[in-house]
Formats: sequence, structure tokens, C-alpha cells
Amino acid sequence: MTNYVIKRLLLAVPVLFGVVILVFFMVRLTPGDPAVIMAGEQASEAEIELIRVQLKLDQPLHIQLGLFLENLIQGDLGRSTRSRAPVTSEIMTRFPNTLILMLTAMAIATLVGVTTGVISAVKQYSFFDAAAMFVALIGISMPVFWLGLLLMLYFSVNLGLLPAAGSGTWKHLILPSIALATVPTAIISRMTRSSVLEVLRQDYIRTARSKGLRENAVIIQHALKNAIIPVITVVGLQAGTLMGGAVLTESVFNWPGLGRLMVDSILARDYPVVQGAVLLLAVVFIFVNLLVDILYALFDPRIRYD
Amino acid sequence: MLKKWILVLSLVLVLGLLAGCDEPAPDVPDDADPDVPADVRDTLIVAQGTDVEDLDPHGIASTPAAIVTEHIFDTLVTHDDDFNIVPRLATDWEISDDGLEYIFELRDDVVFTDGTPFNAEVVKFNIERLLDPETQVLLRSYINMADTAEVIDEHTVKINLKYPHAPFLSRLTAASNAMVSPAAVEQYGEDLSRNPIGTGAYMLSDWVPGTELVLERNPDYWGPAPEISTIIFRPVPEDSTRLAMLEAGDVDVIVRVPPLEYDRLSGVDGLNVVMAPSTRAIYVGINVTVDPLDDVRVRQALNHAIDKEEIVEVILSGAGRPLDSPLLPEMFPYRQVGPYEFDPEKARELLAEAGYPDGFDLTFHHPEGRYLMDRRIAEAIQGYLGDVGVNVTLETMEWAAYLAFIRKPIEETETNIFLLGWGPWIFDGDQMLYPMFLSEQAPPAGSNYGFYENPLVDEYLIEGTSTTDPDERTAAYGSAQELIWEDAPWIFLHSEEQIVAMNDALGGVRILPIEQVLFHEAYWTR
Repeated sequence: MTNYVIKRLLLAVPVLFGVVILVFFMVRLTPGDPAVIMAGEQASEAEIELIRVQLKLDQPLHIQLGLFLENLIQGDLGRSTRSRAPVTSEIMTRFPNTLILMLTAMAIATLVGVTTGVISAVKQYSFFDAAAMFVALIGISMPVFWLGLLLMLYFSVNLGLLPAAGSGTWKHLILPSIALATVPTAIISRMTRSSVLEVLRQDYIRTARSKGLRENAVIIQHALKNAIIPVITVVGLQAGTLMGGAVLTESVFNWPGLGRLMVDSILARDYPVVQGAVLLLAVVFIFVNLLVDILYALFDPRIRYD
Repeated sequence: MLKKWILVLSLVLVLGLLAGCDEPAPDVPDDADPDVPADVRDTLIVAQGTDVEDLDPHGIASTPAAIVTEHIFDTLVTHDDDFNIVPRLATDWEISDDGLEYIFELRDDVVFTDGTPFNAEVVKFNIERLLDPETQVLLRSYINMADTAEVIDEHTVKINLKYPHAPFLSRLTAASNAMVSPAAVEQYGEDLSRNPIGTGAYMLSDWVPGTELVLERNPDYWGPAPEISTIIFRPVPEDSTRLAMLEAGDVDVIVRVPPLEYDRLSGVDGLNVVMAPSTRAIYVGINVTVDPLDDVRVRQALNHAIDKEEIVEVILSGAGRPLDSPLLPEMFPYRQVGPYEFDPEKARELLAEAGYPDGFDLTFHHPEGRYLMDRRIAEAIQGYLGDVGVNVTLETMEWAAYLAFIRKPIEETETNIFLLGWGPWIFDGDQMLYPMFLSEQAPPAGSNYGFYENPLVDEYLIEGTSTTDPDERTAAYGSAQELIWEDAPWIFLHSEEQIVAMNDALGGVRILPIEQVLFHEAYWTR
């Protein structure tokens, strides 16, 4: 297992390198010039040229790439063209916020999703099952943006119970994490339901029951444990979706996370920040994928990575 | 079994929807404010639309940044509510007859918040820093006519210009020309953008980018001490979120209220919604070098074809003033030369006269989300022009790509007509007319994106910028405004109004037409 993890981590290096190169060229091939955006619509070419020189944007692309890689190897992601602050500090003030939001939403989604999924499967065709799956269908189809505004309108503006937007206290976390968790909760609960239903039809469940095990033990130890593999896959995939979905949630709730930083940076063609943020996201994706693979082996001893 | 439940659920849903129709609209709380005793209330929370990127005033070019730096830093001179230039860090000034030397008497009681005394050396240092090509100065056109600065004595400084430039004093009022502490520049270098040290009424106490920026009252401020001790700026880009935060009482002031919300918000108890004029002019640039837009009759026809009053009333809910000159009334020296009356019949006649009785095709490029209701305005213009036979194709572009597109030089340009806005940071008409209408300011050199060229206008604009005599300037700019209006290098639309909403217990907020909202004199009434 240790060998496997080390191998996977080493394999991540060329992937990250590819990501870095790809992003480097993608941002530069997009029409728009950071110097022009910074200086505004009224700047003269002479002023803009000066900014280009200061940002080293006047250099040929391969020289810029060389400079970027040279600094990257030393752990220096450069400075934001917009704020002039080091990219690492720009990203690291935001990343923990996104992580908190994402983990909270993930926890809600997994807890609520798996629970309702299992109950729905066990009580198939019951009122709970129909209602839960109906709500889940709405949840999947709900635009996060709109849901966020509704939550804000009701709980903050009308009832005055929670702050409308912003960050700082645990109260600020409630509405955005609920909004962000809605879609993954729905997906996870539907996935859990179908997976558990399939397992419940297996012979070993009948065996477990005929052994006289309590129904709870049958469900949790025998059924859920076998049904959880596809659920883990979905949870892992959702982690990626959440990173993306966080952009909208962060905008609506004014949550100072990485998503908003990235959108702002892309609009301002702030190359260093876009590069740094994408690199960080790639690291997170690789890490989550690795974690999912390790979890497979934990839950299903048949899966080995030797 | 399942079918039965689905039926029941559907029924519940339908009934719920029907019931919802009858429900009264949710009440807005009468008083969104928490019960804070009046005597402890000296904090103010402001939600801006955009995050502040940089607090080194020399490196800024955005209004949200200027609003914050105007609280931390001072300029040598500023303007009063009638747009006259008045003292700030300089108490008096003298301009040589040739317009090349400016001598300033400075205040002798001013100290930066890091203890550095403010004096002539400091002014010299700042001017040199602004002119240094190594410094990242985005608004160089506001200072690059300066040449050198000389210390005459401790509190007297002389700034020499490279060439006579009448609006120089006006340019010194710009937030980007504020005075920073030389010791802080020495200490922080590029990180001055995170550690601003000024002489202003407030100083930075905390800043988490993207979250909040906290200013504390400067106890050693040379001017009258402000009433509000703490100002917190929060960046809230989403319009609807900003509104919700104000209505929920999370913030006290919000800027950039969407015009469509003006009426509703004005009816909310406890809020004061202010619509104030701005000098941001919105126009449709015309590429005057392409056929048939090179014909002045065609350009005048386009101006007559569009009902600007209706655009302002209907699309902007009244948050605008139709243009009647290339300058705005707040600017020096405005002369009313318009408006172009809305007259589709006349537009058709002019088009026929120019040889286009059946109209022609045009491509209209425009950004979205940059100016108030820009997309809706572009669509309305498409409709108006369609009525006189000009068939317009709309091309919506993302801002960064759009800027790159319209900035192309004449050999490469693909523009026909394009939507733009321009809000100068000063009230001198030079900053409007010179970059927009002087022939040599055509791209790539400057902002004359339509390649407008009239030798007489060039002459007047150069005279207006180089003569220091106000009467001569008024005459030259007056003639220029008339000629430009006649030549119609733009479809003149409107200037935007700024809508600011705040808690109605707040007084003393200054809203400048250059879109700055200032809190130096703000106070709570309860």
C-alpha cells in the first residue's frame, strides 16, 4: 500500500507539470491584455507599454515560461498583476475558506445523502422513499444561484435569523454550505438508494438474515458496506464538482474563497494568480482521487494495490 | 403503490403552488437594525461592488480603490462641492506666467501616521516616484506633464512642467497623485500596496483581501477629526447580495444599486436611497473611417434615430441624463450644444441625402455588465436604428477581449460602432476632450477609438490645454464642443447617475460626481 501511494504521488508530478504548461498557454492565448485591463480604457499605448515591460509581458512566450518554471521550482508563484501581492499569500488567504465550505457541504451531503438513500432503499416504495426521491430530483435540478438567493431572502432578510452573506462566524457558514450541499446530497442519496437496493437482493444478505442477525446489523454491516463503493466514487467526483459549484455559492454569499478569486483573476487576466489557483486545484483533485482509491481498499479487502 | 404516492405528491405540489399565489408578499422587517445604543455607534460598514486591489495610491486606477485611498491619503489640492480647486496639503500656490512653474506653500502641521513629517522633501520624493518609469503608475497621464520638483524651503516646493498644461492643478486633485510616506516606501517597497502610510483622516488597521478592509480614525489627523471611528469596507460583487445585506442590516451603506431596484428600495423603511449625478458619459463610438460612417450626415442620422430620453426613463429607470454636449455640466468649461432631437423622419431624410434611402448593415460591439444596463441599451439601439432602416447585428463581448478588440490600430481595426463609457477622475474638460477627440490620440496611442480627425478641433484642444488663461480656455473648448457635436463622431447617449443606499440614520456622506463616496464628514443621528 505504501509503495502504491508513493508511486501514485510520483505519477502526479508529470500530471501537474502538464497542467502548469497547459494553463500557462491557455491564459495567454485568451484574447485580452492584463496591462490594458489594469490601465483602463483611457490609457495611452505608451503607458500600457510601460506596464507590459514591468510585468515582463513584452518578453517572448518561451522566455516567460522559462522564468515562470524557474521560479515555480523554487516555490515562488510570482506576484499578482492586479494586487501586486505574492500569489501564494493571495491563494492561501482564500483556500482555507473554500476548504471549510467544501468540507462542511461534503459532510452534510454525505451524512444526509447516505442516510436518506439507505432508508429509501430499505423502505422501497414507501411514502418516505417517494418523498425523498422527489425532493432529491428537485435538489438535482435546482440552480445553486437561485436557491442561495431564496435562502438569503427568507432566513436573513425576512426572518433576520442568519447573516445574509459574508464570513467570520459559524453562522455565516450555514446558508452557503446548505446551498452548496443540495446538489451532491441529492446525487449521493439517489446513488446510495440504487446501490443498496442492488445489494439487498444478493444471496449473502439472505444468508445474513437467515443467520438471525438483527435487521440493523444486516443493513449497516452487510448491505451498506458492500454498497458503499459506488457511493465513494460519487462522493469523490462530487468533491470536484463542489470546487466548481463553490464559485457560484461564493459569489452569492460573498464567501471569500478561491472560486471568487479565480473568476476575478480570469476576468482581469491576472495570469500568475490563475496559474497558481489552477495548480492548487489540480493538487486537490489528485489528492482526492488518491484518497478515493485508498478508501476502496479499506472498504473492500478484495481490492489490493500491490 | 408508487403511482399512488406520485399522484399524492403532485397534488400537494400543485395545491402548494396555488396557495402560494394567494399569500401576501413577505413583509420586510420595519427596522433591520440591531438594537445598538446610539452612543456607542461609531462604526460604519460599507459594501462596495469590487474588491480593492491595491492601496498604494500611485498604483491605482479603479474607483473602489480611490474611495479607500482618499480616506488614508491626502493630495496637495482638492475640489469643493462647486468643483473649484481648494487647498488640502498645500495652502497656497502660484503659477508662473509661462505656465511652466508651480510653487506650492505647504501645511507645516502635518505628520504621516508612521511619524514622518510632511514637507517639501516629501512632495519632491512623491513627484519623482510618480515619474519614475520603474514605479507601477497606472494613471501616468495624470502626472507625466511634470518634469522635476525642487525644494525651495522646508514648506515650499516648486514643480516644473515639461510643457504648459493648464489642467495641471486639477490633475493634482486625482487620488492617484496623493502623497505617500517616503519612509514607508523605503521600508515596504512593493508591499506598500498592503501597508499604506498616509496623512489622511483614517489609517489602515486590518485588511483581509476579499473579506474586509478596516480603517481606524487617525488620532493625529491635521484636519477636523471625523465622527466615525471605524469604517469597514466589504467587497460584495453580487448586486442582489449587496441589497440583501443592506436590508438585513449587515451593512450600512451600499454603492452601485441597480436602477431597477431604486423605486422598491426607496419604499423600504429605515433606508435612504440617493440618486446622484456622475460624470461618467456613455456613448456609442463610431469608426469614422469606414463606409458609410465616414459621411457626417449618416452619423447625425444615427444620433437623431435614437430616443435617449426614453432609454434613460425606461431602461435606466431615470438613472441618467441625456448628453447635450461632449462635456458634462460639472466639468470646466461645459457649453450646452445639443441635444440631437429624437426625429426618425429627419434621420431617414439624412440617410437618403447621403445616398442610403434603404439603409445599410452595421455591426455593434458592446460589453456586458460593465455599464449600467449596457446589454439592454445596446438592444434598444438596435431597435431604434432598425426603425430607420439601419440593420444592426449585436456582438456581445467579454470586457477584456472587448478592450483588446477596440484598441486595434487603424490598419487592423474591425469596428463599426461600439458602446463605451468614460468617467474622468477630475472635473477639467481636458481629460474628456483631449484623449477622446484629438486626432493623434487614435489607437494605438490613445482613446480616440473611432479615429475621429478634425484639424480645427485639434487646434482648439491643444490651445485649451496649453493656455492658462481661463477665458481663452473657455472660448477654445466652447468652439471644440460645437464642432465635435456637429461632426457627431459618437452617438451621444447619456451620463450615468449613481445610486447609493444607506441606513437613514446616517448623515454627512459625500457623493462626488467622479463616483467617489466619502465618509470624512459622516455621522450617526441615532
